[in-house]
Amino acid sequence: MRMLYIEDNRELAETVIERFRNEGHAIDLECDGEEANELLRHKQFDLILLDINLPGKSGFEILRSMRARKDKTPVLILTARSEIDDRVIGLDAGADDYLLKPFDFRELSARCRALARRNAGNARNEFIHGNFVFNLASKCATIDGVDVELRNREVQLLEVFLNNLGQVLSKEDIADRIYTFEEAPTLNAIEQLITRLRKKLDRSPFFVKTIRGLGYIAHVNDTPD
Amino acid sequence: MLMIPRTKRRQSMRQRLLLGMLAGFIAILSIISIGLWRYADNAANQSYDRLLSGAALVILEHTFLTTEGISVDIPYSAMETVGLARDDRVFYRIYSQNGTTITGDSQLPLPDVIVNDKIPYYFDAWYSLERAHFIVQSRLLTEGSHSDTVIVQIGHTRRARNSLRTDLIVNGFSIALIVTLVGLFFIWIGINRALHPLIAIEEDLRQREVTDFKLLQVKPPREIASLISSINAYIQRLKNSLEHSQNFIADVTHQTRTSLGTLQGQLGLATQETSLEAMRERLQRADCQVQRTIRLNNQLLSHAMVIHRADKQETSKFSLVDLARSTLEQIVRDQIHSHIEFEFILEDLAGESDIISGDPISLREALRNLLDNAVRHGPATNKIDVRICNHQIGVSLIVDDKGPGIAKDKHKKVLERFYSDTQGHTGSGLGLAIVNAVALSHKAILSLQNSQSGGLRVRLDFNNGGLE
Repeated sequence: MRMLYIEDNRELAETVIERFRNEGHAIDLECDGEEANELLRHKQFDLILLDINLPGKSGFEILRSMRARKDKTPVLILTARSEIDDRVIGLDAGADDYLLKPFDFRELSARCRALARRNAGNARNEFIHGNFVFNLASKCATIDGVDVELRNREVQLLEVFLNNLGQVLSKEDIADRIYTFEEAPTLNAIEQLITRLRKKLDRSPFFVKTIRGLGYIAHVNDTPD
Repeated sequence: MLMIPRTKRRQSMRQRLLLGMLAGFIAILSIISIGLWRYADNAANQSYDRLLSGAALVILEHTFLTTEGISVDIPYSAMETVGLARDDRVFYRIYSQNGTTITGDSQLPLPDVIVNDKIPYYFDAWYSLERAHFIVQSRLLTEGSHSDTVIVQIGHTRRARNSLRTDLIVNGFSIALIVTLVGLFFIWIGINRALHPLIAIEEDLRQREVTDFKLLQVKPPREIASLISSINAYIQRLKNSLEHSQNFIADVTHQTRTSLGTLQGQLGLATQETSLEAMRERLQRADCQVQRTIRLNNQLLSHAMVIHRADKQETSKFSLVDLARSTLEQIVRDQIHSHIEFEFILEDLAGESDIISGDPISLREALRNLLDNAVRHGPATNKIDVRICNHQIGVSLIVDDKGPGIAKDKHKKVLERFYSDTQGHTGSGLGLAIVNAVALSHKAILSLQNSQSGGLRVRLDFNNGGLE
């Protein structure tokens, strides 16, 4: 994976870069905000790790100008600034994820993999995670190469979950997305639908967790590739 | 607009009082001066008018009606009376009713009224390039069946009159001025005596070291007794607050140094280990210590933030349900791999009864700490409920867990900073202190209870006026 790390603290940057290189990634460091912004105009990366407090240009400004250029490279914000406000601004400005400093490298690595995978999946039209493959075009799912028979509704539900990994979806959210107004499903029907999908994907790293009173949250167990 | 820097010095109370008094005295002096001027003018006119009138009467007494007409014998003394004023010039004219001048200066200005009877008439007029004052008086002369009226007009320039008036004014005004100055002097003494306690306090406060929190030891007059007691109460509060922050800094120092010291120890031991296995174990322990230090740091910053935000008192209206939901979602996301069961319960919430006024950022921090505590101290198969319900005058946020709970006698203690029920093994001892600080700044009631599943129930009761 080709990554760009924009960070002005060289000591922190060194430790992160060394570990990513040990994992076999190509990672470049840029310390100045202005220069990083210029670099991003001409060069394409698979993933960008972005600090907020930078000399030259702040991380938010870099991110905004990237998104204004329709550059959709996944961006993970690493910030030491204290409050939620920053996170909200970061995500609103178009960041894909954030991590607060100081962070655990394993956590950073896992988040980077998830972002890269999401991006690659969209490009290849295929969601691959461990033994689980879902083809977005043919709507076919396999576990360990064996076809999983999914009904139409279950495919729709799976798609909704895969597009909203790590986000809480209420039953109403789900009903809105996979049923028309005329069909008007009971909330009970959705529960049953989710139970069936869970059962069918039991052996895959994909799972759906129930939070009573809030809804469901889908997740894929992360295993290093 | 150009801003002009304000360099105006503050006026002292003494100055203010003196200026007020001075203004009063000037007003009084002005009134006195006007009265004085009128009195002096009257006095000068009256005395000189008497001289004129006396002279006129003497002349009239020496007028006779003869067969040839009116004859006058002006006595020398008459002119002497009028000429008492050295610099003044005297004019006279004696004429009959038909206007024929018998003797004197026929060019003298005439009065603008017809003079009759025996009442004297006084008037001012310009004559011979100077302002002059005249008297006109008449007398009816009868000789047998024949009668005629003789009129005497005498005048003199105003110099003596004016100088008398000026003398009177100057003398009177000088006395008033002296009285004023003496008055101001006594007022100055009075003000100084009255202000003495305040000036002493000012001196005392000005010369104090910043660390001196002694109470003011003056015996204040009744009027400023409450001011002094307020200042003393303020000094006391300042002292408490400083002690509080000194304790806090001491605590923080102790905690962070201990934490970093432990880390340093683990790393030091690791470098001395000869076997790779033992070194790895040491490093793993160091890693755990780093995690604890990071958490401690984050909690300290979070605590500082909620305190700071409470001081700034930035409030907005927001929905407690939305805030609790989004915070819970965040925690759930972080805990997705765990076997902890979360539940979000809204108990018969009416309408907009969950709208509260406060600082959403601090409150989110508080709830995050509650949930974080519940996760940390609970079993792997914990069940954590976030419940929102109405109470009589507001809305409550309740967090239940299935953990070990907190013994009732420690409920008060755990709200203090750096008190950890688990004796510092996993807790930073700040989580509930943060919640407590946020509760205080929101005037919410924080209470710890036992949850139905045997764990801890933390309850925050907000007063937003209830259902109304």
